[in-house]
Amino acid sequence: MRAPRAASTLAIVAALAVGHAVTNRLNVTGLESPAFVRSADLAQVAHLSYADVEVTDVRPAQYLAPPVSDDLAVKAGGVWLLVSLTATATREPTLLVDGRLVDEEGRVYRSSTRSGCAFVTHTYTGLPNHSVFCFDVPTDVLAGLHFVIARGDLDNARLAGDDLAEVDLGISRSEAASWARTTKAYNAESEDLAPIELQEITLNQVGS
Amino acid sequence: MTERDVVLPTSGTGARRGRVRGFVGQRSTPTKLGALGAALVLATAPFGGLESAPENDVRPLALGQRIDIGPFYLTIENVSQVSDLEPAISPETEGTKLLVLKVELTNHTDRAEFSRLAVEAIGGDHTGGVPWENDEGLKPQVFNVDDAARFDEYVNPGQTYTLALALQQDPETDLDQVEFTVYGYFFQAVDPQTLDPDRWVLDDAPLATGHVPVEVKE
Repeated sequence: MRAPRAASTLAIVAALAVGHAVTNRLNVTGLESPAFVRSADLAQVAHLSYADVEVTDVRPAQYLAPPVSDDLAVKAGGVWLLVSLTATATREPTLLVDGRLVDEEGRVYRSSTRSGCAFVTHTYTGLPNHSVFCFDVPTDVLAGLHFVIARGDLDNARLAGDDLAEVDLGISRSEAASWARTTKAYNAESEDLAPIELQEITLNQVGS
Repeated sequence: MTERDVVLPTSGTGARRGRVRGFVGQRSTPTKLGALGAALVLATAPFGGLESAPENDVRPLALGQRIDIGPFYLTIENVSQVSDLEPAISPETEGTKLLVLKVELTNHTDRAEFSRLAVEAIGGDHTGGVPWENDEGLKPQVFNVDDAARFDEYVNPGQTYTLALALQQDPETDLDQVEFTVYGYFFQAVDPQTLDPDRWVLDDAPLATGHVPVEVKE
């Protein structure tokens, strides 16, 4: 009787070990499924299944003045990168969530909430909507940055089978070196149906 | 006659079992318990039982000491008591002071991490804290030292900020008794209970704790 009992015990331990290995070593949730990437360059439209998106402008700044004039201007820890986007829904109004930057090493940078710029953008069917995303990034990662945006949740990679726009911002190494030393300041902008003209300001106007 | 009395010189499973039983029977109780413990440890090996236990050395806290709390390197540069921190913030109640921790944090990971992780990694004892009238209660108000603006957002990879963590403080507080504790986080790649993957979880054990000098400024 003891041999079968020992065998049963061993079988249970083995089954638990296999279960432990499966849940810890294997991707059983499908979280790593890649998105369907639509690539584009600066000033080039990326055609997604649900929207057309175009990065129309990218520029650096050291300071951003918030929309509320009484608030203090915010200074970049590294350098502010202002990414202007035009997006148009192709089927139905859609929320594009949380644009990000990705550097040459694959590191992901989030847009800033303290900047006063957009962190999501709404799209309307057939009606271009304009927005500006502002990123505070280290000065040594500017060259080769890509902007990514989608309607899904970028954090939890719930983009399997869905489209994602990836735009090469076209920042060269020489441009990156000069952008890293910028002292420019702009008014922060969020989103608008009218085209957004970024307004450069002088520091004594910031927060005044 | 019992099985323990005779060891038959025959081959086969029964004979082997008898030999084992005889061998075990001749061991002392402490030896048996030790062997049982070793067997249990070996049985837990597939589940990480043989992995080294995390070290739990709590260091004495010091100014300028860079501490890796998981998502950030965190350094408390100085601690001061001030009457005001304009233009960032002023005490809400007349006569109260502000206890300000000047902290440098650097995101050394490959993804953006929320600054609040660093703020919540710092605990305090005997701080004489007076609750803020807003929802923050005794939580510190956080400002970027470079621009005096409020700071509560994601810190991108490689970015460093110097922040001021301001607590409202009873002016009668004995500053020699003020202590701070810095906690760390462990990374949880999979959480079967919440299905919330890749998140930092605060560790119960502190990384550093103790009194640091508080500079009084007017």
